[in-house]
Amino acid sequence: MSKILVEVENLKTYFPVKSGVFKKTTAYVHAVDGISFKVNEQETFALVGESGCGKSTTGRSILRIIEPTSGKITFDGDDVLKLSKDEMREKRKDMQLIFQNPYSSLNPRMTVKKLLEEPLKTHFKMSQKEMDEQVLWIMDKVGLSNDQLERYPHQFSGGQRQRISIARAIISKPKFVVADEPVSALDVSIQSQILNLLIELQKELKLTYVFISHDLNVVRHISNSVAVMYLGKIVEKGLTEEIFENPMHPYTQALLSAVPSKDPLKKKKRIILKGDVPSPINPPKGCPLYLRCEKAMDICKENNPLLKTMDGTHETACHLY
Amino acid sequence: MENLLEVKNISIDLKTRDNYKKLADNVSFNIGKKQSFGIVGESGCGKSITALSIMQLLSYPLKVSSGQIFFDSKKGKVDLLSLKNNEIRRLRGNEISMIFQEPMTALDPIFTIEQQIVETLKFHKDLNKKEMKDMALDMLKKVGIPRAEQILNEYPHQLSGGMLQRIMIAIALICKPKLLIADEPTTALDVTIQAQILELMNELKESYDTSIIMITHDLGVIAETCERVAVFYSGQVVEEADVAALFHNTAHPYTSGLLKAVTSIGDKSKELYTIPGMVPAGGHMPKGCRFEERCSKAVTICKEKAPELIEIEEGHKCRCWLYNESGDDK
Repeated sequence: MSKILVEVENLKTYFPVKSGVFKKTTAYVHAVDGISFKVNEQETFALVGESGCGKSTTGRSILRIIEPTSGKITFDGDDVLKLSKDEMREKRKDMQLIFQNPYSSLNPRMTVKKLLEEPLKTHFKMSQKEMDEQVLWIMDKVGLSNDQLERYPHQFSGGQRQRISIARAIISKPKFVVADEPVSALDVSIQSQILNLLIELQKELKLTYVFISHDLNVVRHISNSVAVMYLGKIVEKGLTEEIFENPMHPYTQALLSAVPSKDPLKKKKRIILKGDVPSPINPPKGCPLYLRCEKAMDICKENNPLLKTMDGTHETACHLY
Repeated sequence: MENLLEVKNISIDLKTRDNYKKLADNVSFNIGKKQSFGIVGESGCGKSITALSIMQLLSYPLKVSSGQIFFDSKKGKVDLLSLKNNEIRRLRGNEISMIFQEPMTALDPIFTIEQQIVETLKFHKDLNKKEMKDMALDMLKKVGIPRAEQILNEYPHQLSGGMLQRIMIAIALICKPKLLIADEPTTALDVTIQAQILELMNELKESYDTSIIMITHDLGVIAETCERVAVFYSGQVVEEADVAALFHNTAHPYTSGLLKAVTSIGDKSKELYTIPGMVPAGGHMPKGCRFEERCSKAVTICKEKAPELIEIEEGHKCRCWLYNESGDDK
């Protein structure tokens, strides 16, 4: 069993809703509502779910880019939430983020060289020569050529920009990277190039990923274990094979069946979820899926199910089991 | 099958004082009555602008430089590109409708849903207020919107993406058009909502006898909804076939590359299949085949001469030097 690098316990991130003349806080958006998981060293842990389920907020809360409301995050033995601002800055060298949209996450006024030097200047005291070496090393690793160093982001295609974003995240040689939908904005043929690159880098630099995505095929390919999120809560988690071979929660089942099939001759049977995700401002008292679930029972309306261990590492939150 | 729409040798140019690019090059395809036709390709391959040209929605610096688009309208066969402004306006929303990619931005934020649905009716039909409201209400119920009466008086920001896309579909279909152009209708939506919308479109196509042009980059969506498909690459149609033939008897190396890239996902034992390189930049087209640089099966002739789109089997067209007219591998 490999070592646990990141442990999240009962993480909650609420955003206040302000209204009225005095901007009084009238309610809270329960973006992340008490989730726990562990990420093993050099493995990939995926968070999947639809938009608004809190997966990106979770990713950002772990890095304290968004300040969580409560909970405990342990990274490499340290309690991340107890660190002061300076200590946190020091720590960020080891925990980095890859953003979703490579079109808006790179400063258009900086050349590639400047973009890549920035994290080095923030975290290390290096001479220009050392920085140059480091930049050339990372350019080679992510598959960009050295003569592109003086170019600006707009001169690159989406796939290349995402390579630059990845280079920026791993140039400080972190142990842990949160990848927030790194391939969603890219075309299919480019997507696979970037996924291969991420897998390669993981092996070579011994990285640990939290991979956030709504694309189940991508998640299946890249991750070792998966947590399915719905309305700020984890409804099912386990090893990737367990989740994809034997989905237990009705939401996971519907999510898997909604992926279009790749073969026009094989039409699959769909479970179509009715309606939309309820508002996270006043989440329902019972099971969050109650109104959309085919198998809903009376107890689902009253009682919110907790995560239960099914077998081994497979856990699900549903009254059916 | 009778054709509803015939796109003939359309070329679209981007032309400014110091820039000239050919974005679509000699594109032709036919769409039958009640057919669902898929156009698939990566960003920048010209699929969206081809669709926009059908409704004369291109604006400067984009311009159709040659070709014709014949449409079988209520008044007989017309060339859409030769119509005057007021003539094409009579067709838009009435006989040809369009659904756009982002329902969140396609609706006007300062009008209620009712006003936006009724707008189309006001222009095309001669109805009184009560009749129009009833039609709008009826349509909302058909696209599966709960509490339709209340929703009529609500504004777009009060509704979710999936609901707005249903409303877009309601607006597009309210005049019972013969042709519905859907430009990436589910790309901005979540998978579970995408499944709902695709199901709805399939149902409505049956009950309204509408032909659909489905533009997408997702081969899965094509497999679920279309009967016939054209694959675009770099402004050209590289393969056109019935959906089953395209997936099971793939001819063009680009199509098979795309399919491989999609289906190899999930199999952890192997590295993901990738098509090397990138799409050639517009304006700097190679002399030979546009896919030659990225193709694993390229031979000498591919570099020198551009292949034509030829019929390799009945109903299966391909633009590749690997095939000749009779369909044998060379």
